[in-house]
Amino acid sequence: MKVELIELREDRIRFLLTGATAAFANGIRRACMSEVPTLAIDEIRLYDNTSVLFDEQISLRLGLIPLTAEDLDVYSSPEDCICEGAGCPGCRVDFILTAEGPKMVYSQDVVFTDPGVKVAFEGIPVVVLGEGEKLVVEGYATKRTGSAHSKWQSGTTCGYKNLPRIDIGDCQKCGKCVKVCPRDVLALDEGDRVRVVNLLACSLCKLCIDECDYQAITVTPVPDSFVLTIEGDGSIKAKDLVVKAAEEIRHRAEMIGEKMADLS
Amino acid sequence: MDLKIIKKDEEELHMEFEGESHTLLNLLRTELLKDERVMYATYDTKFTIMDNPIFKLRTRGEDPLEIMKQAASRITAQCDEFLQCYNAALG
Repeated sequence: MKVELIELREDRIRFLLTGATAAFANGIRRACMSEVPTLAIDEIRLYDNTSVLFDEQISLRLGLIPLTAEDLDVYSSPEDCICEGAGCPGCRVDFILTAEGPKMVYSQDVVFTDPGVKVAFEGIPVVVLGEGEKLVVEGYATKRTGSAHSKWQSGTTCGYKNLPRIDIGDCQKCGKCVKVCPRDVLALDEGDRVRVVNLLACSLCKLCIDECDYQAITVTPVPDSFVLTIEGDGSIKAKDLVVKAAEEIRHRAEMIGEKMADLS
Repeated sequence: MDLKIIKKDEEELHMEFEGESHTLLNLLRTELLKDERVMYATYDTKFTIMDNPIFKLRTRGEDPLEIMKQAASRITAQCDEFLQCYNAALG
């Protein structure tokens, strides 16, 4: 197995994975989206809401605000908590939100009792309050995974594709394929021959194959090479998200192994 | 994760994986099918969301529990190798 880094940003990572099965690449992708736990506002109590939005809309908007924690491990999910889901400081982070108009309520107005827990992005608009309108909300956030609800999804845009392999045979230098390619993968060199200039951008759409009158181009997926793109919601760094996803798969495989050993 | 054995004999194993999905089971199936001692390995969910997937494994006379255990350890090894390569690539 080989990993090559292509792009790294705080919220996004792109890497080339070689020597793995499609099932493994897909496992990482799926685990990033639905098996890595994060915090999200779970239940709220509205003391006052005279804004133009219904209570339900306010609660939906609050639930979808991404949250970060300095140390997420101090919290356990309600199902695994010692309180057995009844609710305790070990599985809940309380917050309050009070605002009076005229004002725009933003995500940073949500204040948590734990100073380590914050909204991932400031400036996410929640509601506009007019003169004399009030919003008083109290509630708590819990830690769960994306499989329970998309608000706990720490990986938002995650995908993979096979690495393409483009072979150019008997090129007649017409340049039609260069024009038709939507991602500028191909270019003409000094001798007007077609050359691959940006292989990773290729989406394997095969328009160049259809366009070529001389059947000079072949595009095939490399079966054991994958380009993975993992983008997070800001609650966790993208590079850590992939590690957590792999650890999650490892943990589960280990559990199967243990159960099998117990039974035999 | 909770495992329930539905059927087990010398060469066949039917198991219910509580709360599991394609993430792990597709990986497990792919790993099992690489093994020549496996006759078939597949899983099915009767009704998505409502039911748990049932994994069915039939071997060519070998103990299915042992084969499943080995496949699980191969996945663990894959994850370890991936994490090692990944951390090295990030530097």
